[in-house]
Amino acid sequence: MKILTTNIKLSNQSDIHIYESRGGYKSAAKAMNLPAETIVEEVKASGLRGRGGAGFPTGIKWGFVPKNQDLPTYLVMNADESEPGTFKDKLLLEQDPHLCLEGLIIAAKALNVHLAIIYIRGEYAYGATVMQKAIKQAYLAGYLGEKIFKSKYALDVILHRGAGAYICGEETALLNSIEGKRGQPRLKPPFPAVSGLYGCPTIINNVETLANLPWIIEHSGSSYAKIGTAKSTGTKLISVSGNVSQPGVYEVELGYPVLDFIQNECRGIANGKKLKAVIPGGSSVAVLRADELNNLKLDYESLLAAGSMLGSGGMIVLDETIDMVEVCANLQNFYAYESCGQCTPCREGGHWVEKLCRKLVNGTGTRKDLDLVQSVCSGIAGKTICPFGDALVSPTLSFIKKFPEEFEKKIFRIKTYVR
Amino acid sequence: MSGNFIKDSSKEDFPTVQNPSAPKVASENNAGIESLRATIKVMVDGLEVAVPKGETVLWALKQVGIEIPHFCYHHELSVAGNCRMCQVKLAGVPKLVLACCTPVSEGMKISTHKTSPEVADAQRETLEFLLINHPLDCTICDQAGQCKLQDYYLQFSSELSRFSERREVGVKAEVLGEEVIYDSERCVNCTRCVRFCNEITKTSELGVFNRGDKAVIGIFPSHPLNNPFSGVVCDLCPVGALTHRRWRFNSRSWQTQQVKTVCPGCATGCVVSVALKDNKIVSVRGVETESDSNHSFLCNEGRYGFSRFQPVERLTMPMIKEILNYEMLGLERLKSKLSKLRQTYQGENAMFISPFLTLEELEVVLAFARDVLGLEPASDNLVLTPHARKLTELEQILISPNYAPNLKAAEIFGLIKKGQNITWLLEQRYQALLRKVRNKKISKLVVVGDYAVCSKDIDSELVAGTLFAEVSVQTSARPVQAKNISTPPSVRQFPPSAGQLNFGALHLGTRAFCEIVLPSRTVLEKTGTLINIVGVEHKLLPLFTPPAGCLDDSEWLSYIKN
Repeated sequence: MKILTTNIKLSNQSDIHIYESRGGYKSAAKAMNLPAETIVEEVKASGLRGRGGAGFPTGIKWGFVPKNQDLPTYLVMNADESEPGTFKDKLLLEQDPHLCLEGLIIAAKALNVHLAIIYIRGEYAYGATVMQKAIKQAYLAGYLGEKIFKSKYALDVILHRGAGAYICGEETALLNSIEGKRGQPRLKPPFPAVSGLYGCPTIINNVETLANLPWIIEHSGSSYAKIGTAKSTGTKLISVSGNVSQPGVYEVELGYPVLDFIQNECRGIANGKKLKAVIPGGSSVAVLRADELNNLKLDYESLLAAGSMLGSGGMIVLDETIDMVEVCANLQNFYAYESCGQCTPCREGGHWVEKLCRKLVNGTGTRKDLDLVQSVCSGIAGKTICPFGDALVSPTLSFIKKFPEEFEKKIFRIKTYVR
Repeated sequence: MSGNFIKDSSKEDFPTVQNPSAPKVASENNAGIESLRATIKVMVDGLEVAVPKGETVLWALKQVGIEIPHFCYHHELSVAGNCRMCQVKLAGVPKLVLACCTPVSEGMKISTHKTSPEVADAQRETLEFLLINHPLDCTICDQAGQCKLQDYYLQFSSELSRFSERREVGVKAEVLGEEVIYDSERCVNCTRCVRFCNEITKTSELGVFNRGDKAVIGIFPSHPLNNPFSGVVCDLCPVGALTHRRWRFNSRSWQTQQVKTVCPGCATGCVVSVALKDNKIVSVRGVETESDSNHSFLCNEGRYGFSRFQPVERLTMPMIKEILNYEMLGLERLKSKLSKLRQTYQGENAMFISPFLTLEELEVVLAFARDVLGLEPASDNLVLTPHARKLTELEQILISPNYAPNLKAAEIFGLIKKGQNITWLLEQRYQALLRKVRNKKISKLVVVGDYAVCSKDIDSELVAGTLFAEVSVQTSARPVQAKNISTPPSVRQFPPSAGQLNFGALHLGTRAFCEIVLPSRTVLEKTGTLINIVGVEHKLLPLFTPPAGCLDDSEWLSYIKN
C-alpha cells in the first residue's frame, strides 16, 4: 500500500504539471467545497497520528484551537527534520513538494487558516529551492493566493528557512525562531494551539502528516483507518540507515514486522553480518536488542510496549561489529552540542553525561562514572522545559541497560599481577 | 507588566502628559487588591493554608510565609521557568511542576521539599548541575554572603559535588556598560537581567549568546548597557555574575552595616538598603516592600549618587556676619543676637523651605512660620523651593519629575494645593518671592534646610543694603543631574557646574546674604518620615552621624523661638 511515495521515482515530479497529470490538487479542490468541520471529522475518523515523533492524533490536535475567537489561526508545516537518522521529510520535500503543499492547503481550509508557514531546516537548501519553486507554481496556478481554486478562500504560504538548530524542530522553539527570537522552547501551557505564533492559535504539523491529507480527502477517513493496525492507522515512511544492504526511505503499512522489514525491504544486514540492535525511531528513543525484535511490529503501540517508540521513523540498524559504548557517546556528543542552554538540567547535565560517556569510551571511566551517568540522567529526565532532556536520557539509559557487558568491558580497572 | 508604574504621580505634576488610561490603571490595581484579598484553601505539606487566589504557587506560598527556592522567577518580570529550582509535587500530577508558573487552585495538594523526597532530590540535583561549572570563587566574589546559590546550597544540598571532569572556563570580567561588569562563570543563566531590559526598560541591550553550557549573557556590538536603570541588573542577579563596576571588590557583605531607608532623591521614594562600611556608602540596592513604591528597582541616579547629599566640607559652628567676614559664634552670643532679632520680627517676613525636610520637621517649620513670622501655609511669602527636571520617557518609568521627596507632606500641611501642576506652580512662587527679596521688599528672610535657596539665585550685592536673618544651613547646588553621575569613576563627589557652588565652598552662597548661619543636618543624617508622591509613608533613617553642633532644622527653630 503506497500513499505517500506513489510519485516518488518519476522524473520532474516537482513540476506542477506532472503532479496535476497524476491527479494532483484534486483533493484540495474537493476540500474547498467541504465545510471545515467535515474535513476535521474525516481526519479524526482516519485516526491519522502525527508523524513528527510524538504520534499525537492529528484530528484531536486540530480540535484544541479555540472556537469563535478574534485572533487569526496560523498553520506551520514543520519541515525542520533534524533528528539523527531521520530523512523521510527530505524525500517528500525534494521529490514531491506539491503533495506537501496540497496537504497544507487542505489543513489550512480545515482550520480556517489564511497564512501558513513552511519552516524548513537550514541544511535542506535543495529542498527549500524545490519547495520555493513549487510554491511559485502553485501561486501561478491559482492554488495559493487570493480566491484559491476559484473559491472565496485566500491562503498565503511563506517558506521560512531555519538556521540549523536541532531544538528548532520542537514546536515552540520553532515558533520563537519564526518570530525572530532565540530558538528556545517556551513554557507550556499555553500550548501553541491556544497561544502560538505571535500569541495567536497555531497548529504545527509534520510534513509527512500533512502529506497524508490528500489521500484521506480523496478516499475518506474510514478507508484510511482500514490501513495499518487499529490504533496506528495508515502507512509510515521509515528512513533506514546503518548496517543494512539497502538503506533508504521505505513506505510501510503500520504493523509491519520489524525483522521482515529489515530482511525484505532493506535486503538484510550488509556484508552478511548479524543484527545486534535497532534504534527504531530516531536517535531519541530507546535502543532495542536483536532478541527483542522477534515478532515486534512497526507501529506506535507495539514499540511503546517494547519500551521504545516509533518516533519519527528514523530507523538505525546496528550490526555485531558496532561498539555500543561508542554509539552512546556519539549520541551524547550530539545532544550536548545541540542543547539550547535555556534550562539547567539539560544545559549542565547534558554536557556532564557527554563527558562521562567520552571517558567510558576512552577506557578511563570507572564503575563510579558508569553509575554516575545513570544518576545524572535521572536528574535530567522529566525536569526540563521541553522533551530534549528525555530525548538525551532515554537512549543513554537503554544502552547501559541493554548492553551492560560492553560497558563493563570498557571500565578502567587496576590490573593486579600475581607472580 | 509594569511599564509605567508611577504614572499616577506624573499625572499630578504634568497634567499635559496625563495618561487617559490612568483611572483604568487605578481600577485594575483595585481589582488586583480585591483578588489578593480573596483566598482559597490549599494543602501544603499536609497543612491547610489560605493563599491569595489567582497567584502562582510560588508567590501565593510566599504570602503565607513558605519560601520556595528560585533563581529565575521575579514577580516584576515575565516567567521564564528555566532554573528548575522551584519544582514542587502536586498530588495527581505525574511529573514535578514549577511553582513559578503554576497557578494555585482550590484544594490543590502541594508537597514541598519538606515532605517530598522527590522534590528534595530534584532541588539537590539542580544545585549540583548549577555548581559543576561554577568557579567557586566566593572568596573574592562581591555577592558572597548574599548569594542565592550559596544560601540554597547550604539549605538544600550541602553535598560534595560528584563532578570530577574539567569544568567549562568562561570569560571572567566582561564590561557590559559603564556601570555593570559580567562574570560568565558565575552566571546561572536565569535571564532576569535580559528580561528586565526587554520588559521594564524596553531597551533590550542584553541577550543570551551561544548554546548549551557555553550560553552566556552579553551585549550586542556597539550597544552597551547604559540605560538610566542599568544598575538594577546587579540587584536582580541572584548570584555574583553581574556586579557594579564602581563598587567592585569594595567590601564583604558581612562586614557592612545594612540600613534600610528611603532614597531622598525624588518624589517616588524608593526603599533602599544602604551598605555602610567605615562610615562610607559601599553599595545601595533597591528593596522590595509591601507598599512597592519602586517594585524593588532603583535608578542609577539614586543608586550611584546616593551620597551626593553629603558634603565634603561643612559648617559645624553657628556663624554671624560681621562687616566683611563671617565669624564663629559662641552659644551665649548667639542667644543674645537671636533675642535681638526676635524683637524685630515685624514688617514683611518670608521663608524659603527646603524640599528635603521630613514630615516632623515640616510641622515645626510651619508652626514657626505661623507663630513667629506670621505666615500662613498658603501665604505667597512661604515657599517650598522646587527642584525638578525634565525626564526622558525612559526615566519616567521610575523617576518622579519632582525631586522633593516629601511632596505629599507639603500637600497635607496645605503648603501646596492638591491637583495642581505642582512643579510649575512652585517655580512661579519661588521666582516671585526671589524677586521680592531682590527688590528689598522683605525685611526678614528665613531659609530652612538643604537646597532651600539656590546659590546662583542670590547674588552677594543684595547683602550690601539689607540684612537677612537666616536660619540656615546647607545651601548649594541643586541635586546632581543624571548625566553627571553616570560618569565613572568618581561621582562620589558633587561635580561643580556653572553658576553653582560645590560642597567644598558650602556656605559661601548663603553666607553672602545671611546675617546668621546655623549648622544643621543633611538629609542622610536625619530620622523622620517621608511621604512619597502616591502617599506611602517611608521611614528615613540616618546613615551618618552628624558632626557635634549640627542640630535638626526643627531643633534650631525651637531654639530660636524660645
